[in-house]
Amino acid sequence: MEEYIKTGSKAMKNVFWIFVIAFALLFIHNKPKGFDTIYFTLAFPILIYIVYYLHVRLFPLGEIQFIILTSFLTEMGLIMIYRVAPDLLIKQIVWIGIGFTLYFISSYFSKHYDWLYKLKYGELIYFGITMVLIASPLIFGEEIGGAKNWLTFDGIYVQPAEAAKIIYILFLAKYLSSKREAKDIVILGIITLIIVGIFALEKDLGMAFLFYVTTLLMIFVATSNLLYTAIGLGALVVGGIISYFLFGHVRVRIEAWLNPWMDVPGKTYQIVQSLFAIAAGGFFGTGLGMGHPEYIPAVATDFIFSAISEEFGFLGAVAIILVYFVIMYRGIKVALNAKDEFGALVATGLISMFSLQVFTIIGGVIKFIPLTGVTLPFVSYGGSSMVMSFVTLGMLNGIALKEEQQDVQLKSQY
Amino acid sequence: MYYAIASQILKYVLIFLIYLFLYRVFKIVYMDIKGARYERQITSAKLSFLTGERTFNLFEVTTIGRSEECDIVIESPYVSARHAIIRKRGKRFYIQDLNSTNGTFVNGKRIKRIAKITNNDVITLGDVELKFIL
Repeated sequence: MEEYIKTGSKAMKNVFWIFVIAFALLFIHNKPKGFDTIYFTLAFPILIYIVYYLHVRLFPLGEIQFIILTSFLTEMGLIMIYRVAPDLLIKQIVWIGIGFTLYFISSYFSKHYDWLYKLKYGELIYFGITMVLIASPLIFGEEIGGAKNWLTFDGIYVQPAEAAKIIYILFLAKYLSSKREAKDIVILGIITLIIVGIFALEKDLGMAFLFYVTTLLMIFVATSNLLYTAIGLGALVVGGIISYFLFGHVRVRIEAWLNPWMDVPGKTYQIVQSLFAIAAGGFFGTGLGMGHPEYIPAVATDFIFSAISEEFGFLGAVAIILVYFVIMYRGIKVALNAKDEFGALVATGLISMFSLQVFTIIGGVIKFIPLTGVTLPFVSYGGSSMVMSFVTLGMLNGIALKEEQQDVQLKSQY
Repeated sequence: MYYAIASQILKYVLIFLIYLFLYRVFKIVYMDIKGARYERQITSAKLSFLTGERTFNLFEVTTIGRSEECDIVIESPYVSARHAIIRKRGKRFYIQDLNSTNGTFVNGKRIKRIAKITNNDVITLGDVELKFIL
């Protein structure tokens, strides 16, 4: 156990030195505008050290790797955000602070997840909240960047679908832990189609895809029935073909994926700039401040992976993907070790949603699959996504802790 | 100009640091997997049927029951699917009943949840009697 913590501390030291070198370079390249920027930048390493120390103290048996890996990812995000959009840096650091706080709160919260399961009318409540959150932008929402999936309160933009993800997983876990007959699965299928339909009206195809595939995966995990999965996958293909003919923006995305060179200054501008940036990076990257990631549209949010590929090169990009793989590994391990079915289903849902999101956006920007606009968790600029990714990992940590908790009780009885 | 040179040199340093970080992350993963394997190490303790027909070696953590998933499989209708678990802590062994239907008995006494077991103790699971040999 000692060596375990020592290795973790060494990894945190590496994170610190990457931070020092990168920001020293960036502050020379692009002088900070005010003292605020410098103070907030210095607060980040202090924040992650406090969080690391607290985690070791409060949850000695918790998933400490979540903290180490998220520190690294948020740090890479901060470096790239300061590089391409220096004004957003302070806000992002504030969001990271809020995110870490919520990580601890949701860890404690889901450590006693029994009450989430036992809640009376739990299914109806979770389902109701999900529907309200998903449908609210349709009525009160504002259209930003072609998709109507934002709410605004006094100039703060919130994406309610991010919160709906977690509540929806609670609903699915609760539903599937008791109802597994063919009839129940059909009802669930209809519910999913309604949700996907609402997202299609909001033109938020990334979210529609995430919700659909997560439901499919959870049905498969809960029932191990290949027939349902096959029908679901078939429906996905059919739905994809129908939406290709029905929605103009889907057609644009798929055509841009098949042939990005057809309309470079217009429809396929984003993806082409992203590909150019990745190509410019080579193996070791152009070096911080030496590339031109600012040519890519939406580079601080959706396309941040391309910017990292350009300035840190192929090797840096692979490192990011490997870090996500380790998070996935830890998440699946939590699901496998969970003591009861509800915990296992929640953990499976959370980690599938998280990993699907990661690979839809990375696959999208490298033109492996058609591009859909979702954020890269922990790296992209964005409050809702950052906070909800932290809550996701916090809940996984809580589920892992609950299992360990029983082990501790067992020891004390000897 | 100087900045360009510094950036060129430091990009290799950054990549090196990133991969040093990854090496440590994977080292933690490796230690984790090794920790899981630790449970599968065979100890010197044994469990044998009182009738003497079979003897089992105990692991650091051993599960007993009717289910195929258990380390020690006992085919008897009176034994639950996952009946009991034996763990080693330090030099001592402890048996825990996993809410079995017919209960677990040590030397004829039904255990509530966890009990210490010593050499030559007789463990009764359902209708099966086993002897613990250290």
